[in-house]
Amino acid sequence: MAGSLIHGSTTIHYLDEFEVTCALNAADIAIDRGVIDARTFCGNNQVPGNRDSMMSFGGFGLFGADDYEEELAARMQSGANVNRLTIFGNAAAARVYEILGPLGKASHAWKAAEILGLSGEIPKGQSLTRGVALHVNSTFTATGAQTGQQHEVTAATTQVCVATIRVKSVSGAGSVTFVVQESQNDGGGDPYANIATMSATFTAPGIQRLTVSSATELWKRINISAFSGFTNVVATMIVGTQMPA
Amino acid sequence: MAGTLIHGGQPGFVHTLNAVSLCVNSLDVSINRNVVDARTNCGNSQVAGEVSTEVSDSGPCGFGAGSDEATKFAHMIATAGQAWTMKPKNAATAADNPQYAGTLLGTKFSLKLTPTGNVEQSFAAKLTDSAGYPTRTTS
Repeated sequence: MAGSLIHGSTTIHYLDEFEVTCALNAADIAIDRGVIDARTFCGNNQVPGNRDSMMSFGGFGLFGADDYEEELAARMQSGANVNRLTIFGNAAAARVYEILGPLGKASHAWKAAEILGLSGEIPKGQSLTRGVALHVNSTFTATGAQTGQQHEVTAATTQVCVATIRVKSVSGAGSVTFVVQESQNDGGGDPYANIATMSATFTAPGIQRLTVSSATELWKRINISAFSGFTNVVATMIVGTQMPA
Repeated sequence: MAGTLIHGGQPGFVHTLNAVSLCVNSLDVSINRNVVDARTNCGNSQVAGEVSTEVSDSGPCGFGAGSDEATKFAHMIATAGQAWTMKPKNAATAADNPQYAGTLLGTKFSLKLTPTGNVEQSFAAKLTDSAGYPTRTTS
């Protein structure tokens, strides 16, 4: 087998900062590329066309405040972009796919003899981000640098490096600031340094998606530069590269 | 039976993309020829037209460096076609082990997750070689 198999039961799923792993029992991700048939009298010619991606997901309608059904309904009504994350594993360093786009569908399937079903879809047309998990539902209680992960070198201008920070829950009132840092070799000879503009402050649960088009180095990590008031903060963080259109 | 039957799993067929050997549980290659109906009042005539080839595979998805997932995602974001080969078994190319080769341009890479099984993938591509069909070699 080329690579390690991953069982579906170990995967983690988010809609924005809301974890929906326990609501879903199906998830599909598709990357499409049009191939244009540019055949002429000179012969066959197949030309690469546009790329786009979609994600669909389905499961059971968990009902309650801040739960799957409520969050899906709110986003369907607002038309706001949804940041849908799949983590292929449940720990740091796992592969992640993330897509940002408006919901195109929320479908209720209710039957008298079954658990009420609810599915959604971010339709074709969005750009997918592929990356690595820095932290999965990790609990933070103080300032300090966190463990780094090998991501990839991203090129200036032609690539977009993405870091998405999801604060899932907080205990108490306060503020926390996360800064994304980079190094060529996990700090071995090349100390970690802040990536300009990749900083996010939270005073409550939420999501912030940070992007940078300047070149970045192979390794990335989170440094908690400020932490006050909260007893603890639970967060999931990824870093990735946005697929070109 | 003229010729040698070959089981898909033993010793296992070979399927490579960009020189990476892929692990799938099914591989489908469809070589299609457009046959032009040139029927006239003088009689039936079917004329051989252009050829096009489509390749698709599916199976459990491996993750990690050099994995199926990494190879296929990189292919999808690449801006040019990549080399592809297949042959019935992992041995020297021969009359009973012909190699098919060409340049592929991926049209779809999808992942499917369920709680009860491994993450599954499927991949589809078109051959971009000007001939429209893959090169077949036996030595």
